[in-house]
Amino acid sequence: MKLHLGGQFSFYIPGHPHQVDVPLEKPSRLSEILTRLGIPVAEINLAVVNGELVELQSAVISQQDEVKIYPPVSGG
Amino acid sequence: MYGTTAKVLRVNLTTGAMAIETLSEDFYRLYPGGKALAGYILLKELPAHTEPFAPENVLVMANGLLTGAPVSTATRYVVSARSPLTNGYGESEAGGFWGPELKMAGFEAIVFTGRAPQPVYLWVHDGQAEIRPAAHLWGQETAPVQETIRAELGDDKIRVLQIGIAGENLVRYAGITNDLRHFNGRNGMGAVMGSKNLRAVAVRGSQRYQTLAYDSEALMALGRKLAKGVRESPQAWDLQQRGTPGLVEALNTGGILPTRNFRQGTFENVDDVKWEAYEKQLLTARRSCYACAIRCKREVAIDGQVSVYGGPEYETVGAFGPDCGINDLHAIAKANELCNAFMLDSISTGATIAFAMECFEHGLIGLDDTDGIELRFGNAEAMLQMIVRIARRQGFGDLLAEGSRRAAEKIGGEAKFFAMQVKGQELAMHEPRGKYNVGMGYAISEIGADHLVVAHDPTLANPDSLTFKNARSLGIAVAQPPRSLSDEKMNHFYILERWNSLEKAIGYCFFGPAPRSFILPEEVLVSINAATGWDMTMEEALQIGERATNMARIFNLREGFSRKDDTLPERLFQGLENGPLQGNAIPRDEFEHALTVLYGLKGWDPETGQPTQERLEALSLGWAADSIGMR
Repeated sequence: MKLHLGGQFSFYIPGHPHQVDVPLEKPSRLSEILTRLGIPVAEINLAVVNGELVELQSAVISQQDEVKIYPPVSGG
Repeated sequence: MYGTTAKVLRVNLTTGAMAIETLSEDFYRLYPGGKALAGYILLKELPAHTEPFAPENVLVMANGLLTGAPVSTATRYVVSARSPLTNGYGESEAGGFWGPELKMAGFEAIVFTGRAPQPVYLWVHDGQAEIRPAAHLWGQETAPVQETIRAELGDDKIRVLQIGIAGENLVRYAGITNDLRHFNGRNGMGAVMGSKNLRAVAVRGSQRYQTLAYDSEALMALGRKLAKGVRESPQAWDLQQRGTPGLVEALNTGGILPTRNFRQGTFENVDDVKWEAYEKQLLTARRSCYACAIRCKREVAIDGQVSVYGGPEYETVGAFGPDCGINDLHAIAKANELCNAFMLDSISTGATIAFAMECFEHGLIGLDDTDGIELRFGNAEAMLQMIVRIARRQGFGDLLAEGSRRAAEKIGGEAKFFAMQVKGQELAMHEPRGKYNVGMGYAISEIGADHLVVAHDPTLANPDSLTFKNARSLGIAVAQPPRSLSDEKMNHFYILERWNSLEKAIGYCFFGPAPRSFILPEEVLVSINAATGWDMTMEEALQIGERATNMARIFNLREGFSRKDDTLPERLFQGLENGPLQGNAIPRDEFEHALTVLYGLKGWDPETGQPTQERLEALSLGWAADSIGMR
């Protein structure tokens, strides 16, 4: 899957990329994939799969999916 | 007394007389600078119903207790006066270098009264002050004025705070800049300076904060810890990497990116204005405020030239971009440059132009009114032309220079519905239909719609998040969804407003302390006590914030404000037109109920919004009851 790291989530991945390709052998829960990558799911405010907002806990992701995650943002 | 110079410089611009006042420790512990000190001075010294542009208006520039301390994000100073935009309590904070330099020059605050017979600027250096002529600076853009002042005083390290031609022309949302890149944008404080014929305040000092501190080693140790913390905090890291323009995409995804004058919550051309585009098209470097390790400021190049005015913040991208339906980053950067050269508040400028665009599209105004300019959403050239007209008060710009509320009254008809303002001040670029406490902040703030009253709702929505855990020591106990106006949500508001108001009194930036960022509440307390030698508790510190808020409230009550002014533009009680929150509106009945609950927590009368005598006494503000005829 293609994972777009919104806001601070690049912080948790070595090299701090905006986007990473994550190989998936079989469809998996998004929360489990992110936890495996070292991304704290409690910090996620919005998760988008193929352009649609999804529930983080129940979303199941396949290899061809495009996922975006964002933290809460405020102020400026 | 430690931690402060305790000196206030008083300047009568009419007579040229100056005096230095020394504050006592007992006083300073209750009103330790910034919003608290400015609020006290305005309430005590500004006669009720003084016209904002009258010489009698009192203009206060006040550092916070910790402004200039060697601690990340403790850089802020406040400028206050009666606001020409709202006719109420006026206030605007800025970071940068000017506040710390003022402290190094020996002063916590400057209080201006009167009006200079001719344009002047004030030169403050190491305990001295001098009023100097500024007729040769009047009418010029801000960059050459800074250069001229530094050259004629012979020191290129002088920090220059100044207005631009917008302030000279009394544009009601004219701002103030320091170092050309930091802004007291809101509430028209630049117009008050202009009305006093005061173009600039130049400062230079050689003192260091460490020599003022009670325990300078503890303060330095905290400063080093926080500098390291910036590198280890995901929130601070993101502010450094992307700065505030990084917010655009996340807000759009959540359906809360104000678009086309708050009609919509998502912008179809967001890819053209989001961070990746900004980074590619504009960014040249990252910059900092005084002693701050975050470095959230952007430097940009426009047409191959590095701008001396810095890059647009999120608010500016939002106001001149999606809110005006514009997807041209180059034009947005140009708009930012114009605002900073003329010194206009970019939020109110963009929002007022968006208001006018909607009036134009509804046929309430036409080409005859707009000097022949097709003022439609998406027309970047029209937007840029209108900024210049506003700053110069030329043609249609003269009406828009009055702000959206006054312009709507003049235009008439439906225009009132399109003016996205509270108490006369335009909304910042945060859509409250997706975060209800932001809406409550817009409604209840003494300065009109302000987005920095409380931490935004999503930061406290997940009990397992770092932001929520870091707020626990403030008393935040139960996570709440963003779109809730529950009693517990109002409890969040009450706690967070005390906290943010404290930050504005002691000089911390919104991007430093938790829950928005990484400095723990306990560490803020350590910094206060290390600076002063006090044994302040968290409750005493939070009372400073609540005291400051109540003084601003009393100021407004004295001017005739009441509960009816704590409301929102009608549009927000109606559904968003697009995006994931399409159709979502702030529920009016729940909003009114929540306001009553919040008044109760604040100790304010539910009908009038007036603080009770009991609450005022508890906040050591019994003296202020007199000014609203309570005894």
